[in-house]
Amino acid sequence: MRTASYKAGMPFPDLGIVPRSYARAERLDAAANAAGVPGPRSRGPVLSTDAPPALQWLSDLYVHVFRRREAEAIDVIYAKFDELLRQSDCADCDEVLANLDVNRLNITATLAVLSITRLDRARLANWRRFAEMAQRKICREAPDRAAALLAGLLPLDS
Amino acid sequence: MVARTGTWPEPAFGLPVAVLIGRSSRETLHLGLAYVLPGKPVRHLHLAWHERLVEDWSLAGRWAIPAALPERLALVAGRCRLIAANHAAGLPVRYGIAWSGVAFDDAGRFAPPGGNFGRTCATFVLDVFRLEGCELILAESWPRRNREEQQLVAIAEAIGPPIVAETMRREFAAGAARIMAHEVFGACLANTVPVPFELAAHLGTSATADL
Repeated sequence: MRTASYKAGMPFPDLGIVPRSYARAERLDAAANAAGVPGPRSRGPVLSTDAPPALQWLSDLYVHVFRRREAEAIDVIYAKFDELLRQSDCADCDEVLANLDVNRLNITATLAVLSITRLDRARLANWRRFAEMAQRKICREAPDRAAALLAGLLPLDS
Repeated sequence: MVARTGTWPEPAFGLPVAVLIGRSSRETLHLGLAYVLPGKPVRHLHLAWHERLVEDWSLAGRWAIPAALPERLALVAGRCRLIAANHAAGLPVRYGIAWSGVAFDDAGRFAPPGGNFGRTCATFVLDVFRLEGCELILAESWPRRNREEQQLVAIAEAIGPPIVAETMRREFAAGAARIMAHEVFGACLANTVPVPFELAAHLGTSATADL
């Protein structure tokens, strides 16, 4: 168990978990917005400030996942990975796979990453590592459905 | 995971994606996809004919959601959005019978594999699900049917362009099987996928008898 204090408007600590204080901060933000109170608001989970610029979009992705905007999260994943996969050497795409935090993705977003990258996995040195982490996450979070969720998306043996 | 179905248009439709079927002429049924983005009206995507991948759907008929996990259906809807957004940047989607691999790249642009000329309305739907690792049918169980093949060639000859009928004849001669719209719709009604021909055809025929 880990815990930390959280203050609205501050960057979210990179713990890979979401403390209850964040939900409280969101409620306070909503109340402040409704009352027209000026001032900083919570920004949700963000990357640490030393993240490379090419990876800043992951912050948007984590926010979509956190706020349960499933379709928006899928669209960000598909659009950004498509952009990266069209580059000839796939180095940026591989960097994203190396930096993606599966603990900040939900199951659907994790499957979306597998799905959009699996046809190019031979060109992606970090794909197998990501796939193994994804498999562990899904087996842990949905043990009864893991096989069905991963069917057709996870050819680790090929 | 259970298949669901109903009558289209469905005003309260709120699921990520569904397969639609309607009668486009006295002889033919047509297959397409409906998908949603939260807070937006339902969108459609279907291969209407040669080089006509379109987003409007005006046919009354039925909808079905295959027996797939909700997470997988959400990905299929995402793939619909990607194809709708990007296909215009690539080649026009041609109409063809032979179905192997997938005919769309990661970005949703038309990129048929070797030996494939294009897609039908039915195999387009199969492709979108296949892109998300979801096989709806056991394609190797589909039979050759001379009457249905000749019927489709006759339609292609009537409405053109000539290259479509010419390609169909060549693909049928090479052994391609026609996968019909109602058969794919039937696969969406089965308790598990992928579905063999006999079951898909039986379920599809029953479900579309009144269309």
